[in-house]
Amino acid sequence: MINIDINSGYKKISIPEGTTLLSGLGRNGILLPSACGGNARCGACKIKVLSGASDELSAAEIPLISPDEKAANFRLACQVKAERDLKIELPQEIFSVKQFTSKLIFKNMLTRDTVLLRLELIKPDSIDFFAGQYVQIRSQPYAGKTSVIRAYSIASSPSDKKHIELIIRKVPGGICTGWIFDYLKEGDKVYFTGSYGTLRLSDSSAPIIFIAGGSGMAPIRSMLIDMKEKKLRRRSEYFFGAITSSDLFLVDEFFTLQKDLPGFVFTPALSCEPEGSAWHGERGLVTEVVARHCPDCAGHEAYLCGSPGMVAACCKVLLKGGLKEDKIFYDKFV
Amino acid sequence: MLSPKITLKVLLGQSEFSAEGFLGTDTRTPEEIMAEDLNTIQTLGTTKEKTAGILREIYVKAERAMGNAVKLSEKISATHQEACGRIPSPFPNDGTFQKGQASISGFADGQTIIITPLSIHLIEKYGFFQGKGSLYRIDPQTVVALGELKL
Repeated sequence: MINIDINSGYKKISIPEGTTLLSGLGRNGILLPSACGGNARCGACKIKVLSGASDELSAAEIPLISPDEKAANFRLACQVKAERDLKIELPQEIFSVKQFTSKLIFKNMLTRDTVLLRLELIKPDSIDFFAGQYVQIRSQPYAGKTSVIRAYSIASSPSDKKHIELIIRKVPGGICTGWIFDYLKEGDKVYFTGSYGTLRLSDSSAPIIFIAGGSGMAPIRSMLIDMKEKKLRRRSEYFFGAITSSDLFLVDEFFTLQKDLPGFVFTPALSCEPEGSAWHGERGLVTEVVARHCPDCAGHEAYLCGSPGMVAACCKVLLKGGLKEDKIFYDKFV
Repeated sequence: MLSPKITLKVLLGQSEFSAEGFLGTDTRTPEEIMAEDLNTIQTLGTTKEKTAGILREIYVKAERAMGNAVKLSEKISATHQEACGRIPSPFPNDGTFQKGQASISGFADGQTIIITPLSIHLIEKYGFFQGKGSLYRIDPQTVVALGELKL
Protein backbone atom coordinates (compact mmCIF):
# COMPACT_ATOMS: atom_id res chain seq x y z
CA MET A 1 0.00 0.00 0.00
CA ILE A 2 1.14 3.54 -0.79
CA ASN A 3 0.49 6.44 1.57
CA ILE A 4 -1.14 9.60 0.31
CA ASP A 5 -0.80 12.76 2.40
CA ILE A 6 -3.51 15.23 1.44
CA ASN A 7 -3.23 18.95 2.26
CA SER A 8 -0.26 18.59 4.62
CA GLY A 9 -1.79 16.07 6.95
CA TYR A 10 -5.41 17.17 6.71
CA LYS A 11 -6.25 13.68 5.49
CA LYS A 12 -4.14 10.58 5.05
CA ILE A 13 -5.15 7.54 3.06
CA SER A 14 -3.50 4.42 1.67
CA ILE A 15 -4.11 3.02 -1.78
CA PRO A 16 -2.82 -0.13 -3.50
CA GLU A 17 0.49 0.26 -5.31
CA GLY A 18 -0.03 0.86 -9.02
CA THR A 19 -3.48 2.41 -8.59
CA THR A 20 -4.02 5.78 -10.22
CA LEU A 21 -4.66 8.69 -7.89
CA LEU A 22 -8.09 9.21 -9.47
CA SER A 23 -9.12 5.66 -8.76
CA GLY A 24 -7.48 5.47 -5.33
CA LEU A 25 -9.01 8.72 -4.13
CA GLY A 26 -12.38 7.64 -5.48
CA ARG A 27 -12.25 4.40 -3.49
CA ASN A 28 -11.68 6.53 -0.42
CA GLY A 29 -14.73 8.66 -1.09
CA ILE A 30 -12.82 11.59 -2.59
CA LEU A 31 -14.55 12.19 -5.92
CA LEU A 32 -12.53 14.29 -8.35
CA PRO A 33 -14.31 15.66 -11.41
CA SER A 34 -13.84 13.53 -14.53
CA ALA A 35 -15.73 13.33 -17.80
CA CYS A 36 -13.69 10.62 -19.48
CA GLY A 37 -13.55 7.97 -16.78
CA GLY A 38 -9.81 8.30 -16.24
CA ASN A 39 -8.63 8.00 -19.83
CA ALA A 40 -6.63 11.25 -19.95
CA ARG A 41 -8.98 12.79 -22.47
CA CYS A 42 -10.91 15.48 -20.59
CA GLY A 43 -8.28 17.02 -18.29
CA ALA A 44 -10.85 17.60 -15.55
CA CYS A 45 -8.99 15.67 -12.83
CA LYS A 46 -6.03 18.05 -12.44
CA ILE A 47 -4.60 18.20 -8.93
CA LYS A 48 -1.36 19.37 -7.36
CA VAL A 49 1.13 16.60 -6.70
CA LEU A 50 3.77 18.05 -4.43
CA SER A 51 6.03 15.02 -4.14
CA GLY A 52 6.26 11.34 -4.94
CA ALA A 53 5.45 11.43 -8.65
CA SER A 54 7.85 11.39 -11.56
CA ASP A 55 9.02 14.78 -12.71
CA GLU A 56 8.08 14.25 -16.32
CA LEU A 57 4.55 14.47 -17.66
CA SER A 58 3.27 11.44 -19.53
CA ALA A 59 2.57 11.79 -23.25
CA ALA A 60 -1.13 11.87 -22.43
CA GLU A 61 -0.68 14.71 -19.94
CA ILE A 62 1.44 17.00 -22.09
CA PRO A 63 -1.40 18.45 -24.19
CA LEU A 64 -3.61 18.86 -21.13
CA ILE A 65 -1.21 20.50 -18.66
CA SER A 66 0.07 23.96 -19.56
CA PRO A 67 3.66 25.00 -18.75
CA ASP A 68 2.34 27.22 -15.94
CA GLU A 69 0.33 24.35 -14.52
CA LYS A 70 3.35 22.04 -14.71
CA ALA A 71 5.44 24.62 -12.89
CA ALA A 72 2.75 24.71 -10.21
CA ASN A 73 2.91 20.91 -9.88
CA PHE A 74 -0.42 20.13 -11.49
CA ARG A 75 -0.84 16.59 -12.82
CA LEU A 76 -3.74 14.52 -14.09
CA ALA A 77 -4.88 12.30 -11.24
CA CYS A 78 -5.81 9.60 -13.76
CA GLN A 79 -2.21 9.44 -14.96
CA VAL A 80 -0.30 9.51 -11.70
CA LYS A 81 0.17 5.99 -10.37
CA ALA A 82 0.93 5.29 -6.74
CA GLU A 83 4.47 3.94 -6.86
CA ARG A 84 5.82 5.66 -3.77
CA ASP A 85 4.33 7.80 -1.00
CA LEU A 86 2.72 10.92 -2.39
CA LYS A 87 1.91 14.36 -1.07
CA ILE A 88 -0.95 16.05 -2.88
CA GLU A 89 -3.04 19.17 -2.56
CA LEU A 90 -6.77 19.26 -3.19
CA PRO A 91 -9.27 22.12 -3.10
CA GLN A 92 -11.05 21.94 0.25
CA GLU A 93 -14.51 21.68 -1.32
CA ILE A 94 -13.55 18.32 -2.86
CA PHE A 95 -13.99 16.67 0.53
CA SER A 96 -17.67 17.60 0.49
CA VAL A 97 -18.32 16.09 -2.93
CA LYS A 98 -20.77 13.19 -2.89
CA GLN A 99 -22.62 10.95 -5.31
CA PHE A 100 -26.30 11.78 -5.40
CA THR A 101 -29.44 10.05 -6.54
CA SER A 102 -32.19 12.51 -7.35
CA LYS A 103 -35.54 12.64 -9.10
CA LEU A 104 -36.54 15.10 -11.78
CA ILE A 105 -39.64 16.82 -10.47
CA PHE A 106 -39.90 19.72 -12.88
CA LYS A 107 -38.79 20.24 -16.47
CA ASN A 108 -39.63 23.56 -18.05
CA MET A 109 -38.64 24.76 -21.51
CA LEU A 110 -37.48 28.33 -21.04
CA THR A 111 -36.81 28.88 -24.76
CA ARG A 112 -36.71 26.56 -27.76
CA ASP A 113 -33.24 25.36 -26.75
CA THR A 114 -32.95 26.08 -23.01
CA VAL A 115 -34.50 24.06 -20.21
CA LEU A 116 -34.79 24.44 -16.45
CA LEU A 117 -34.63 21.22 -14.42
CA ARG A 118 -35.56 20.92 -10.77
CA LEU A 119 -34.14 17.85 -9.04
CA GLU A 120 -35.30 16.53 -5.67
CA LEU A 121 -32.52 14.82 -3.75
CA ILE A 122 -33.17 11.25 -2.68
CA LYS A 123 -29.89 9.86 -1.41
CA PRO A 124 -28.30 11.69 0.23
CA ASP A 125 -31.34 13.87 0.72
CA SER A 126 -29.51 17.12 1.24
CA ILE A 127 -26.62 19.01 -0.34
CA ASP A 128 -24.33 21.79 0.79
CA PHE A 129 -22.88 24.02 -1.87
CA PHE A 130 -21.78 27.58 -2.56
CA ALA A 131 -23.57 29.70 -5.11
CA GLY A 132 -21.38 29.48 -8.22
CA GLN A 133 -20.55 25.80 -7.99
CA TYR A 134 -21.44 23.05 -10.42
CA VAL A 135 -22.37 19.37 -10.48
CA GLN A 136 -21.51 16.55 -12.87
CA ILE A 137 -24.58 14.85 -14.27
CA ARG A 138 -24.47 11.29 -15.61
CA SER A 139 -26.79 10.80 -18.57
CA GLN A 140 -28.48 7.46 -19.20
CA PRO A 141 -27.87 5.40 -22.38
CA TYR A 142 -30.37 6.01 -25.19
CA ALA A 143 -30.68 5.37 -28.91
CA GLY A 144 -27.31 3.62 -29.03
CA LYS A 145 -25.56 6.47 -27.17
CA THR A 146 -23.42 5.60 -24.19
CA SER A 147 -23.82 7.10 -20.71
CA VAL A 148 -21.70 10.26 -20.36
CA ILE A 149 -20.78 12.77 -17.67
CA ARG A 150 -21.16 16.51 -18.16
CA ALA A 151 -20.83 19.53 -15.86
CA TYR A 152 -23.62 22.06 -15.24
CA SER A 153 -23.70 25.04 -12.88
CA ILE A 154 -26.28 25.00 -10.10
CA ALA A 155 -28.92 27.67 -10.69
CA SER A 156 -30.77 27.52 -7.37
CA SER A 157 -30.12 28.91 -3.91
CA PRO A 158 -27.82 27.08 -1.48
CA SER A 159 -30.49 27.57 1.19
CA ASP A 160 -32.64 24.89 -0.49
CA LYS A 161 -30.71 21.83 0.55
CA LYS A 162 -33.28 19.33 -0.68
CA HIS A 163 -33.27 20.41 -4.33
CA ILE A 164 -31.05 21.77 -7.04
CA GLU A 165 -32.05 23.53 -10.23
CA LEU A 166 -30.09 23.54 -13.47
CA ILE A 167 -30.44 25.74 -16.55
CA ILE A 168 -29.19 23.82 -19.59
CA ARG A 169 -28.89 24.78 -23.24
CA LYS A 170 -29.10 22.13 -25.93
CA VAL A 171 -25.79 21.49 -27.68
CA PRO A 172 -26.30 20.49 -31.35
CA GLY A 173 -25.43 16.80 -31.52
CA GLY A 174 -24.71 16.73 -27.78
CA ILE A 175 -25.07 13.34 -26.10
CA CYS A 176 -26.04 14.57 -22.62
CA THR A 177 -28.27 17.42 -23.74
CA GLY A 178 -29.85 15.06 -26.29
CA TRP A 179 -30.84 12.83 -23.38
CA ILE A 180 -32.01 15.75 -21.23
CA PHE A 181 -34.12 17.36 -23.91
CA ASP A 182 -35.52 14.33 -25.73
CA TYR A 183 -35.66 11.48 -23.22
CA LEU A 184 -35.52 12.68 -19.61
CA LYS A 185 -39.03 12.91 -18.09
CA GLU A 186 -40.38 14.19 -14.80
CA GLY A 187 -40.21 11.35 -12.30
CA ASP A 188 -37.00 9.90 -13.78
CA LYS A 189 -33.95 9.35 -11.60
CA VAL A 190 -30.94 11.60 -12.21
CA TYR A 191 -27.51 10.70 -10.85
CA PHE A 192 -24.88 13.34 -10.22
CA THR A 193 -21.77 14.16 -8.20
CA GLY A 194 -21.01 17.48 -6.63
CA SER A 195 -20.61 20.12 -5.81
CA TYR A 196 -17.45 21.31 -7.53
CA GLY A 197 -15.80 24.56 -8.44
CA THR A 198 -14.16 27.53 -6.82
CA LEU A 199 -16.30 30.29 -8.33
CA ARG A 200 -18.12 32.12 -5.57
CA LEU A 201 -18.93 35.63 -4.44
CA SER A 202 -16.18 37.34 -2.51
CA ASP A 203 -16.75 38.62 1.00
CA SER A 204 -16.02 42.19 -0.01
CA SER A 205 -18.52 45.00 -0.35
CA ALA A 206 -17.34 45.98 -3.82
CA PRO A 207 -20.12 46.62 -6.36
CA ILE A 208 -20.64 43.70 -8.72
CA ILE A 209 -21.01 43.39 -12.48
CA PHE A 210 -22.54 40.08 -13.60
CA ILE A 211 -22.41 39.21 -17.32
CA ALA A 212 -23.87 36.07 -18.89
CA GLY A 213 -26.21 34.99 -21.64
CA GLY A 214 -28.25 31.84 -22.08
CA SER A 215 -27.48 29.03 -19.68
CA GLY A 216 -24.58 31.10 -18.33
CA MET A 217 -27.25 32.66 -16.17
CA ALA A 218 -27.23 29.60 -13.90
CA PRO A 219 -24.46 30.44 -11.39
CA ILE A 220 -25.42 34.12 -11.42
CA ARG A 221 -29.04 33.31 -10.55
CA SER A 222 -27.77 31.19 -7.67
CA MET A 223 -25.57 34.04 -6.44
CA LEU A 224 -28.28 36.69 -6.68
CA ILE A 225 -30.89 34.63 -4.87
CA ASP A 226 -28.27 33.86 -2.22
CA MET A 227 -27.55 37.58 -1.87
CA LYS A 228 -31.24 38.34 -1.40
CA GLU A 229 -31.68 35.63 1.22
CA LYS A 230 -28.60 36.75 3.12
CA LYS A 231 -29.71 40.40 2.81
CA LEU A 232 -26.33 41.38 1.37
CA ARG A 233 -26.23 45.07 0.58
CA ARG A 234 -23.89 45.23 -2.37
CA ARG A 235 -24.66 47.17 -5.51
CA SER A 236 -24.93 44.77 -8.41
CA GLU A 237 -25.99 44.77 -12.03
CA TYR A 238 -26.65 41.72 -14.17
CA PHE A 239 -26.19 42.18 -17.92
CA PHE A 240 -28.07 39.37 -19.65
CA GLY A 241 -27.04 39.21 -23.30
CA ALA A 242 -29.31 37.64 -25.91
CA ILE A 243 -29.86 37.87 -29.67
CA THR A 244 -33.59 38.60 -29.85
CA SER A 245 -36.44 38.80 -27.37
CA SER A 246 -37.30 35.14 -28.07
CA ASP A 247 -33.98 34.19 -26.44
CA LEU A 248 -34.83 35.89 -23.15
CA PHE A 249 -36.13 33.91 -20.18
CA LEU A 250 -36.86 34.35 -16.46
CA VAL A 251 -37.10 38.07 -17.16
CA ASP A 252 -40.04 38.55 -14.79
CA GLU A 253 -38.16 36.73 -12.04
CA PHE A 254 -35.17 39.05 -12.36
CA PHE A 255 -37.26 42.22 -12.51
CA THR A 256 -38.99 41.02 -9.33
CA LEU A 257 -35.57 40.44 -7.80
CA GLN A 258 -34.72 44.01 -8.75
CA LYS A 259 -37.45 45.12 -6.35
CA ASP A 260 -36.52 42.67 -3.61
CA LEU A 261 -32.72 42.96 -3.62
CA PRO A 262 -31.60 46.47 -2.72
CA GLY A 263 -29.03 47.89 -5.13
CA PHE A 264 -29.63 45.25 -7.82
CA VAL A 265 -30.31 46.25 -11.42
CA PHE A 266 -31.27 43.79 -14.15
CA THR A 267 -30.25 44.81 -17.67
CA PRO A 268 -31.18 42.48 -20.51
CA ALA A 269 -29.51 43.45 -23.79
CA LEU A 270 -30.54 42.30 -27.27
CA SER A 271 -27.98 42.36 -30.07
CA CYS A 272 -30.20 41.63 -33.07
CA GLU A 273 -33.75 42.53 -32.13
CA PRO A 274 -35.66 43.82 -35.18
CA GLU A 275 -36.02 47.57 -35.41
CA GLY A 276 -39.45 48.77 -34.48
CA SER A 277 -40.23 45.78 -32.26
CA ALA A 278 -41.95 46.18 -28.92
CA TRP A 279 -38.61 45.89 -27.13
CA HIS A 280 -37.75 49.04 -25.20
CA GLY A 281 -34.70 47.70 -23.36
CA GLU A 282 -31.05 47.92 -24.23
CA ARG A 283 -29.87 47.05 -27.72
CA GLY A 284 -26.41 46.03 -28.88
CA LEU A 285 -23.82 43.44 -27.99
CA VAL A 286 -23.68 42.85 -24.26
CA THR A 287 -20.13 44.20 -24.24
CA GLU A 288 -21.34 47.46 -25.80
CA VAL A 289 -24.10 47.77 -23.22
CA VAL A 290 -21.69 47.08 -20.36
CA ALA A 291 -19.34 49.74 -21.72
CA ARG A 292 -22.22 52.26 -21.83
CA HIS A 293 -23.43 51.47 -18.33
CA CYS A 294 -20.04 51.02 -16.67
CA PRO A 295 -17.57 53.36 -18.32
CA ASP A 296 -15.79 53.60 -14.99
CA CYS A 297 -15.77 50.31 -13.09
CA ALA A 298 -12.62 50.73 -11.05
CA GLY A 299 -13.28 49.25 -7.65
CA HIS A 300 -15.89 46.80 -8.97
CA GLU A 301 -15.78 43.03 -9.16
CA ALA A 302 -17.06 41.11 -12.18
CA TYR A 303 -18.48 37.61 -12.40
CA LEU A 304 -18.76 36.20 -15.89
CA CYS A 305 -20.19 33.00 -17.27
CA GLY A 306 -19.81 32.07 -20.91
CA SER A 307 -17.43 30.74 -23.52
CA PRO A 308 -13.78 31.84 -23.51
CA GLY A 309 -14.53 34.13 -26.46
CA MET A 310 -17.31 35.90 -24.61
CA VAL A 311 -15.26 36.10 -21.42
CA ALA A 312 -12.30 37.56 -23.33
CA ALA A 313 -14.49 40.19 -24.98
CA CYS A 314 -16.01 41.19 -21.63
CA CYS A 315 -12.62 41.31 -19.94
CA LYS A 316 -11.42 43.75 -22.58
CA VAL A 317 -14.29 46.13 -21.84
CA LEU A 318 -13.99 45.80 -18.08
CA LEU A 319 -10.25 46.35 -18.03
CA LYS A 320 -10.71 49.43 -20.20
CA GLY A 321 -13.17 50.67 -17.58
CA GLY A 322 -10.52 50.36 -14.91
CA LEU A 323 -11.60 47.10 -13.30
CA LYS A 324 -8.58 45.15 -12.06
CA GLU A 325 -7.82 41.83 -13.73
CA ASP A 326 -7.71 39.94 -10.43
CA LYS A 327 -11.23 41.12 -9.71
CA ILE A 328 -12.71 39.36 -12.75
CA PHE A 329 -14.00 35.89 -11.86
CA TYR A 330 -15.30 33.08 -14.05
CA ASP A 331 -15.54 29.35 -13.75
CA LYS A 332 -12.58 27.68 -15.33
CA PHE A 333 -14.41 24.41 -15.72
CA VAL A 334 -15.32 25.67 -19.14
CA MET B 1 2.05 4.80 -32.17
CA LEU B 2 -1.45 3.37 -32.09
CA SER B 3 -2.01 -0.04 -30.65
CA PRO B 4 -2.82 -2.42 -33.51
CA LYS B 5 -6.14 -3.09 -31.80
CA ILE B 6 -7.11 0.57 -31.91
CA THR B 7 -7.75 1.30 -35.55
CA LEU B 8 -8.57 4.67 -37.03
CA LYS B 9 -12.10 3.41 -37.60
CA VAL B 10 -12.47 2.86 -33.86
CA LEU B 11 -10.88 6.17 -32.91
CA LEU B 12 -13.06 8.14 -35.29
CA GLY B 13 -16.29 6.30 -34.52
CA GLN B 14 -18.92 7.12 -31.92
CA SER B 15 -17.62 7.80 -28.43
CA GLU B 16 -18.64 9.34 -25.14
CA PHE B 17 -17.57 12.68 -26.58
CA SER B 18 -19.00 12.45 -30.07
CA ALA B 19 -22.52 11.15 -30.56
CA GLU B 20 -22.10 10.48 -34.27
CA GLY B 21 -18.35 10.09 -34.57
CA PHE B 22 -16.39 11.63 -37.39
CA LEU B 23 -16.99 9.22 -40.27
CA GLY B 24 -20.62 9.99 -41.11
CA THR B 25 -22.15 7.46 -43.51
CA ASP B 26 -18.98 7.20 -45.57
CA THR B 27 -18.23 3.67 -46.74
CA ARG B 28 -14.57 4.47 -47.34
CA THR B 29 -11.96 3.73 -44.70
CA PRO B 30 -10.59 6.73 -42.74
CA GLU B 31 -7.30 6.26 -44.54
CA GLU B 32 -9.06 6.49 -47.91
CA ILE B 33 -11.01 9.57 -46.83
CA MET B 34 -7.84 11.33 -45.77
CA ALA B 35 -5.88 10.30 -48.84
CA GLU B 36 -8.57 11.47 -51.27
CA ASP B 37 -9.09 14.79 -49.51
CA LEU B 38 -5.37 15.44 -49.32
CA ASN B 39 -5.10 14.65 -53.01
CA THR B 40 -7.88 17.15 -53.69
CA ILE B 41 -6.10 19.83 -51.71
CA GLN B 42 -2.88 19.28 -53.57
CA THR B 43 -4.70 19.39 -56.89
CA LEU B 44 -6.22 22.71 -55.84
CA GLY B 45 -2.74 24.00 -55.12
CA THR B 46 -3.10 24.48 -51.40
CA THR B 47 -2.24 22.72 -48.14
CA LYS B 48 -4.14 21.38 -45.15
CA GLU B 49 -2.61 24.13 -43.03
CA LYS B 50 -3.85 26.86 -45.36
CA THR B 51 -7.34 25.42 -45.55
CA ALA B 52 -7.45 25.19 -41.76
CA GLY B 53 -6.31 28.80 -41.60
CA ILE B 54 -9.23 29.92 -43.77
CA LEU B 55 -11.71 28.17 -41.53
CA ARG B 56 -10.05 29.51 -38.39
CA GLU B 57 -10.31 33.06 -39.70
CA ILE B 58 -14.02 32.61 -40.35
CA TYR B 59 -14.57 31.00 -36.97
CA VAL B 60 -12.85 33.79 -35.07
CA LYS B 61 -14.75 36.43 -37.03
CA ALA B 62 -18.07 34.74 -36.22
CA GLU B 63 -17.12 34.20 -32.58
CA ARG B 64 -16.41 37.88 -32.09
CA ALA B 65 -19.92 38.71 -33.25
CA MET B 66 -21.29 36.82 -30.23
CA GLY B 67 -24.23 35.11 -31.92
CA ASN B 68 -24.98 37.72 -34.58
CA ALA B 69 -24.56 36.80 -38.23
CA VAL B 70 -21.38 38.03 -39.91
CA LYS B 71 -21.43 38.63 -43.63
CA LEU B 72 -18.64 36.86 -45.52
CA SER B 73 -19.98 37.93 -48.89
CA GLU B 74 -23.19 39.37 -50.32
CA LYS B 75 -25.03 36.11 -49.72
CA ILE B 76 -22.87 34.04 -47.36
CA SER B 77 -22.81 34.62 -43.61
CA ALA B 78 -21.46 32.90 -40.52
CA THR B 79 -23.11 32.67 -37.10
CA HIS B 80 -21.45 31.45 -33.94
CA GLN B 81 -23.16 29.44 -31.21
CA GLU B 82 -21.21 29.25 -28.00
CA ALA B 83 -21.13 26.22 -25.73
CA CYS B 84 -19.36 25.69 -22.45
CA GLY B 85 -16.92 22.84 -21.99
CA ARG B 86 -14.21 21.21 -24.04
CA ILE B 87 -14.12 18.16 -26.27
CA PRO B 88 -11.08 15.92 -26.63
CA SER B 89 -9.60 15.12 -29.99
CA PRO B 90 -10.35 11.55 -31.06
CA PHE B 91 -6.61 11.10 -31.61
CA PRO B 92 -4.59 10.18 -28.51
CA ASN B 93 -2.55 12.84 -26.75
CA ASP B 94 -3.98 15.66 -28.83
CA GLY B 95 -5.59 17.58 -25.99
CA THR B 96 -9.02 19.16 -25.78
CA PHE B 97 -10.76 21.86 -27.79
CA GLN B 98 -13.34 24.45 -26.89
CA LYS B 99 -16.91 23.49 -27.73
CA GLY B 100 -18.91 25.87 -29.86
CA GLN B 101 -19.56 26.09 -33.57
CA ALA B 102 -19.86 28.52 -36.43
CA SER B 103 -22.50 27.81 -39.07
CA ILE B 104 -21.93 29.16 -42.57
CA SER B 105 -24.99 29.48 -44.75
CA GLY B 106 -26.18 31.24 -47.89
CA PHE B 107 -24.63 28.92 -50.44
CA ALA B 108 -26.42 28.54 -53.76
CA ASP B 109 -27.00 24.82 -53.15
CA GLY B 110 -28.59 25.48 -49.75
CA GLN B 111 -25.95 23.64 -47.74
CA THR B 112 -24.85 24.76 -44.30
CA ILE B 113 -21.29 24.20 -43.22
CA ILE B 114 -20.43 23.88 -39.54
CA ILE B 115 -16.97 24.66 -38.24
CA THR B 116 -15.69 23.82 -34.78
CA PRO B 117 -12.26 24.33 -33.20
CA LEU B 118 -11.86 20.54 -33.21
CA SER B 119 -12.73 20.16 -36.88
CA ILE B 120 -10.18 22.87 -37.71
CA HIS B 121 -7.55 21.01 -35.71
CA LEU B 122 -8.31 17.70 -37.43
CA ILE B 123 -7.85 19.31 -40.82
CA GLU B 124 -4.72 21.19 -39.84
CA LYS B 125 -2.90 18.31 -38.17
CA TYR B 126 -4.20 15.27 -40.02
CA GLY B 127 -5.77 16.56 -43.23
CA PHE B 128 -8.95 14.90 -41.98
CA PHE B 129 -12.04 16.69 -43.29
CA GLN B 130 -14.34 13.98 -41.86
CA GLY B 131 -16.43 11.42 -43.69
CA LYS B 132 -19.28 12.20 -46.04
CA GLY B 133 -22.50 12.43 -44.11
CA SER B 134 -20.78 13.79 -41.01
CA LEU B 135 -22.44 16.94 -39.73
CA TYR B 136 -19.02 18.57 -39.54
CA ARG B 137 -17.53 17.47 -42.87
CA ILE B 138 -16.35 20.30 -45.08
CA ASP B 139 -15.37 19.55 -48.65
CA PRO B 140 -11.90 20.88 -49.48
CA GLN B 141 -13.26 22.57 -52.59
CA THR B 142 -15.73 24.52 -50.48
CA VAL B 143 -12.98 25.68 -48.16
CA VAL B 144 -10.91 26.90 -51.07
CA ALA B 145 -13.94 28.78 -52.42
CA LEU B 146 -14.45 30.38 -49.01
CA GLY B 147 -10.83 31.41 -49.03
CA GLU B 148 -11.43 33.39 -52.18
CA LEU B 149 -13.96 35.60 -50.42
CA LYS B 150 -12.54 38.84 -49.13
CA LEU B 151 -12.85 38.02 -45.43
